[in-house]
Amino acid sequence: MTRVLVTGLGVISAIGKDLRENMASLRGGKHGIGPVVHFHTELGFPAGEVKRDNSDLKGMLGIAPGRTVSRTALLGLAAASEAVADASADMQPWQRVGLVSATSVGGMDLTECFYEDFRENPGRGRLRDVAMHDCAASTEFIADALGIKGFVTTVSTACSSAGNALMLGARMIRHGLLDTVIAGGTDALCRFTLNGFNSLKILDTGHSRPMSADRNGLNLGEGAGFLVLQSERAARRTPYCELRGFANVNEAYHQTGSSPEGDGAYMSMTEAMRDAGIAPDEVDYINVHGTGTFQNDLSESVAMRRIFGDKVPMFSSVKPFVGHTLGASEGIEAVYSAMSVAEGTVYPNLNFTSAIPETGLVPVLSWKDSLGIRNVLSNSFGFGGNNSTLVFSRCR
Amino acid sequence: MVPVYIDRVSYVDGSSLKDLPLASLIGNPNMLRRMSRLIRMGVAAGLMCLDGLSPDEVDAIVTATSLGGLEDTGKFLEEISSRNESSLNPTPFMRSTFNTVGAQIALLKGIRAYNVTYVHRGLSLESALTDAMLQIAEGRRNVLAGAFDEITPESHAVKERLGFSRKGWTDSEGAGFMLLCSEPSESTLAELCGLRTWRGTMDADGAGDAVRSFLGEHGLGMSDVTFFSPETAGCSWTGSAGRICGAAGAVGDAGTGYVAVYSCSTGMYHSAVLLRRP
Repeated sequence: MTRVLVTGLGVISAIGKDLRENMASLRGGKHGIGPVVHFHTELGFPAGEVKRDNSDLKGMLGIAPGRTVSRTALLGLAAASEAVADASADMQPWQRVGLVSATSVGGMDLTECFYEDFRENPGRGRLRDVAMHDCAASTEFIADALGIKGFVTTVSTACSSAGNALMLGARMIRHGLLDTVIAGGTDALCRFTLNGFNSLKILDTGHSRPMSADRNGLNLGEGAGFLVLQSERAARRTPYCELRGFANVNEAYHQTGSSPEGDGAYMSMTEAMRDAGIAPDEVDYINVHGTGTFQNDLSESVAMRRIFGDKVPMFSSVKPFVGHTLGASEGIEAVYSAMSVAEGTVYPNLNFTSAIPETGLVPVLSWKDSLGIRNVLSNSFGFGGNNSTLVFSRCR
Repeated sequence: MVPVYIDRVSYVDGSSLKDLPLASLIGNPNMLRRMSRLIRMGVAAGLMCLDGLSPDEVDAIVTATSLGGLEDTGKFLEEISSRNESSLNPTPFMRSTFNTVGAQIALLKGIRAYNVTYVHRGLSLESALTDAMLQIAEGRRNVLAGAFDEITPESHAVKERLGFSRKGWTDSEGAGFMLLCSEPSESTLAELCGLRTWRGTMDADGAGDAVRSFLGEHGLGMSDVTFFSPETAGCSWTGSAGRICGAAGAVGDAGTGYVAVYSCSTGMYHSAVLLRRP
């Protein structure tokens, strides 16, 4: 079977506009959670906004200031173009290059502006504000900017979207259908999602405390993360690592909740390790989904206990740094996970005070590097019972 | 490519939805009550393809929608404005998620398996079929694949203002599902032997050349296949689901034993599917 190499990384989040800034913030313990400033909301919840407005992003990307582009598309292009440049990937049309992007809200940030006028009078509202409403619009925008003519698609499975996008990209390479796939996810924070999660009553009014006994909900975030996945024959640089295995298993338990036994997380982690051909004792770090909600963190840590017993590997949630970036989360966290293998880094789980009593698990509490990391599991779980796990491994 | 067989198809649209015995088909009155029209169409079409199968016989559910739950999305947007962001009902938000239909099918049937949703305009269903065919190649036996979209008064008004009907694009809605299998059976309708997609503008000549070259890759010429294309160019981004379901049902009667389906939406997204009599 063709190996899937990770040769390029790109990320933009609340803690930095590129990979270098993100890693510096993680190392320095500098989080990006604060009050919402980029759009109007009556809600006072803190969130992880990217610290650049749309004009800054357009300037950074060389896009005309007057052009209407959704924030989701701008964030996506920032990360995807960084990943492509990082890989020095050959993007010529005759190369077999694909793009698999993921998003949960698409151009909702613009649709909200359109809707304010449209609801008063269906003849009103600027059409250019609704033209990028659908999820594919941001993907097509990225494909156009990067000159990708071949296979292009968009995945949307709520909070596991980017994990599933990476999975399809890797499978297309395994099957020999493509040689290079830019895969990941992008989501802009907007009133729609902020209100949605508030209606579900799972937002923390303060800074989130994932994997901690006193956790009290999540902070939302925004951003994008993309990886360049390549077959050996297409790779032009030393890869960071391999995307060696993965799994997506629906828990079929509840539309928005996860089972207390952690069946979904158990199945996706177990299946992904089997797919990668590794045993539990070969896993050195787990980038947990760790949203900070009562139920997610309980299910996920119960699943870890069931799989690893009293030998649970190092693990942490990076969500107190960047927030829960929904459709982008596994894109961003896959970038961090790939860096974990490449540089032997593990990231601190901020705000942890005491272990969840049911499982007694203590996460990584400070930045460490130059560790011998062989395999990293990266989890993302979403609405609808979606559970996805990716396995990043040192190159064989 | 390994052989992929279409064992069952089902198609539900706004009018056939009214005649379906939803209560017995869906079986969970609590879940049914909360389902929007789109979710009812999608879940009903999906469940019809799974009738009689046990949960562990279904190895993957791959769904597609271009715009997802527009009614629920609109409801939640309206509530945000009218209630000024306070005391909102979470149900429309939960149901507006694009993977809701696939998730509800899994939940109703207890299918703990691969489950994913593609949302790429006129190539949404084709992306789902690509994934489903890979699943079969990876050793899965039965894969449910399908697509769904709905028209709401708001989406219709926006499409009109964007000039869709002026361009001759007809809007449509509905849900089409297929059960894809690794092995043929007595009930197999068709073998799915090829799928190709193109992005970008193509005139009629360009599309003809593209389809000719696609058939050529399968050793066939234009006269070797019957074209199943009862619909003109539409703007329903997942309309190809209905056409492919229809074509699978028509393969048995096709003179040459081959049926091809060409779909185009908004002039930008094109696909060709080749079916063969089993």
